[in-house]
Amino acid sequence: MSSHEIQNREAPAVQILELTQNRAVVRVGDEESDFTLIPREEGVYDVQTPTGWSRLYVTRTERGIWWVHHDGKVYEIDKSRHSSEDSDASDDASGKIRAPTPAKVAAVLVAVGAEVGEDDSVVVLEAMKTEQSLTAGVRGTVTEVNVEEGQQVAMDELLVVVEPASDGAEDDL
Amino acid sequence: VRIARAAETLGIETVGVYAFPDNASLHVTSCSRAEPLEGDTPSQAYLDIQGILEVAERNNCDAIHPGYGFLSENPSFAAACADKGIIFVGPTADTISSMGKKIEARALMEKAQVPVIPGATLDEGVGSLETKAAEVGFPVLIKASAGGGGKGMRRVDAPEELRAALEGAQREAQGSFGDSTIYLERLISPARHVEVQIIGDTHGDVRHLGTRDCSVQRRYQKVVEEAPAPGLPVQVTDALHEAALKAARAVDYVGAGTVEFIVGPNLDFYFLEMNTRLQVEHPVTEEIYGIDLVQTQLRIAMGEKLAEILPHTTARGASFECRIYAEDPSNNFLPAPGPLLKFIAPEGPGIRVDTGVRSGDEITPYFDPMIAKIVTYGSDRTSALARMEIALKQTVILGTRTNLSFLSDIIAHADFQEEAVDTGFLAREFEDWAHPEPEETNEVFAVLAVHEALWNRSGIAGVAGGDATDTNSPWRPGAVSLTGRGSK
Repeated sequence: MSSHEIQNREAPAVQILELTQNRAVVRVGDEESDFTLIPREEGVYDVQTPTGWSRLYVTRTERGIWWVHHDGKVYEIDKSRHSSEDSDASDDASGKIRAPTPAKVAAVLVAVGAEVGEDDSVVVLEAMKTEQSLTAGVRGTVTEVNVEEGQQVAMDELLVVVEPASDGAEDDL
Repeated sequence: VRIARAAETLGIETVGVYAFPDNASLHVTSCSRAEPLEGDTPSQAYLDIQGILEVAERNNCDAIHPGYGFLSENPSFAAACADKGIIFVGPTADTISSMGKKIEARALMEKAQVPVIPGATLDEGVGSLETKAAEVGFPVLIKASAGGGGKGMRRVDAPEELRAALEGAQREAQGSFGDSTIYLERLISPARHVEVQIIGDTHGDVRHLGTRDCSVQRRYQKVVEEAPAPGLPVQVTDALHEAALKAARAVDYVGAGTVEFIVGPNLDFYFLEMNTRLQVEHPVTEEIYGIDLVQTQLRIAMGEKLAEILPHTTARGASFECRIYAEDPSNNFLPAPGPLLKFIAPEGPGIRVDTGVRSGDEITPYFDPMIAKIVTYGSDRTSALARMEIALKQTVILGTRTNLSFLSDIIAHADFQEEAVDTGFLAREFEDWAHPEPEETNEVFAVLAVHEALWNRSGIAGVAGGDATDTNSPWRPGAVSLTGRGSK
C-alpha cells in the first residue's frame, strides 16, 4: 500500500440486536435510533433509518479491503490494518523507485553508477497508452536497475534503487 | 457489444474475435460465435490483420466491423479486407490513409477551403522545427501525425522545452501508433472542441448529424461530451456543418465519421482532424437523433442509400455522456486496474449505459481503462444534466477505484451547468480538486457489521476477515466491534 489513503473515522460501537436471514436490527453508537437492515441479493442491503430507506452495496477484496457504496459515495475500509506499515517507508526519500501501477517500461533513463538529482526522471512507464515518468525522489547514485525497456512490471515492483548521497556532501559551490 | 447488438436487430450473425485474457468477456459472449486470436500480448493479437482475416474467411463473413480502436483507422486493414472481398465497415483505405496522416489531412482540407490552424511539419529535422515553432508562435502543440484522442500530444510554451517534448511525443507516438511522425500547431486558447458527425453512403450522398461539444477534457482526454454543442449561434452551427460536409466530400466519405473543430474565442473555427470511424461519444448523437449509428453503418455497408436509412434527420433535446474510467482520482488519476467486484449500472428514463464489462470482470492494464459510458437524454440541456447527476449517483462500482466522484463534481459545477465551457475548464477549475474522502455514515458501519455476521454464519470461511472469532458468534445478539484506523 503506497499512496493509498484510507481515512476511517473512529468507528462507533455497533450492536446487532436482531439477526435473521431476512432482517437485522442494529444500534450504532449510543444513539436511540436503531437501523433495520433487509439483506437483498449478495452484498446488497436496504437500510431503514428514521429518515427513510437507502440501499447499500458491500463487498470485500482478496486483500481484505471492504468496499461500501452508500448514497453515491464509495468507502474503502481496511479493518485489519495492524500489519505492514513497513512498505510505506519505501517511498519518496528512500531512493527505492517502485511501479505505482501495473505498466510497461517505456524507457530506462539511468544506468548503475549514474548520479541523479531529486527531480531527475529515471524510468518512464506506460500504462493504458499513457506515459508516466518516475523521478528519483532523492539525490544520489543509482545502485540497482532491475528493469529493461519493453518489460511488463507489476504494481509495487522495485524498478530502480538510488543510494542517497550522504548529507553534507559539497554539492553547490 | 454495441456492434453485435446492432447486427442482431438486422438479423445479421456475428463472429467475435478475442485475445486470450478476454475469452469470456462481454464482447465475446454477445456475439453469435467467437474465435481466439493469437499474440504475445492482447494488443498484438487484436492488431493481427492476417489472423482476423483468417477467422473471417473460415466463417464465411461478408463484412468486418472494426470497432472504435485497434484497427478501425488502419488503412492496411481496410485494404486487406478489400483484397479478400470482405466488406470493411467504414470508409475506403484511401480515405483512412489520407485522414490518418494528419499532415496530409491538413493539406487536403486547405485545398477544400476548410479553415485549418496555423502549423508546421517536421520533414526537415528537429533543428528547423525549432525555427518553425517560433514562426507558428508559442505556445504550440506537438501532435502525432498518426495520432488522435490526445495520445502523443504535448503543449510547449517555450523553445527550450521543445526538444524534450518532441522526443517524448515521438516515443509515445511510436508506441501507440507505430509511427513517430509528428507536427506542430499553434495552440488556440481559450478554445472549445466542437465536432460534427458526418455520414456518407456508397452512392455519393453525405450528410451531417449535428454537433457535439467535447470541451471537457483532462490532458486532452475527453471526459464529458454533449450534443448538440450548446450556446452557438445558428449561423456558426450552419457554418460548422457546411465545413464538415466539405471535408467529407473532399475525401468521398463513406460510412460514419467525425470532423473535429477548434472553436476560438470569437467563434472562429478551424479544422482539427477527421476521425474515420465511429467515436466513443457517438451515443449522444444517437440520442438526440433517435437513430442507431452502428446499424446505419452496417446498412450503408450493404449498399443501402442514406435517403432510405435515415429519411428524417431531426434532432431534438440534449444528451450527455460521461466516461467512467478505472483510474485513481486520489493518486493523480493513474490507471487503477483491478477486479470489478460489483458493477451496477444506473437505470431509469433517459438513462443509457454502454459497457463491455460486468461484475466479476477484471479491469486489465492492457487497454484503455474505460469501464462504461453513461449517457442521458433530456428534452433540454438542464433535464439531461439533471438525469446525469442521478445516474452517476446510482452507479455502483466496487473493487476498483474510478473517476465517478470527479465526474459528479464536474456535472455539478456551476459554470458547466450554466453554459458551454472551454477546453481549459478542467485544468483551471479542478486544478486543486481532491477526491473527497467522505466520513463513513452510520449506515455503512451497520451494514459492515451485519454483512460480516451473515457471512460468518453462512460458513463462507475466510471471506469475512481474520478478526471474526467464535466468541463474537454473530447469531447470538451481542456487541460486534469495528476498529477503524486513525489516519497517520
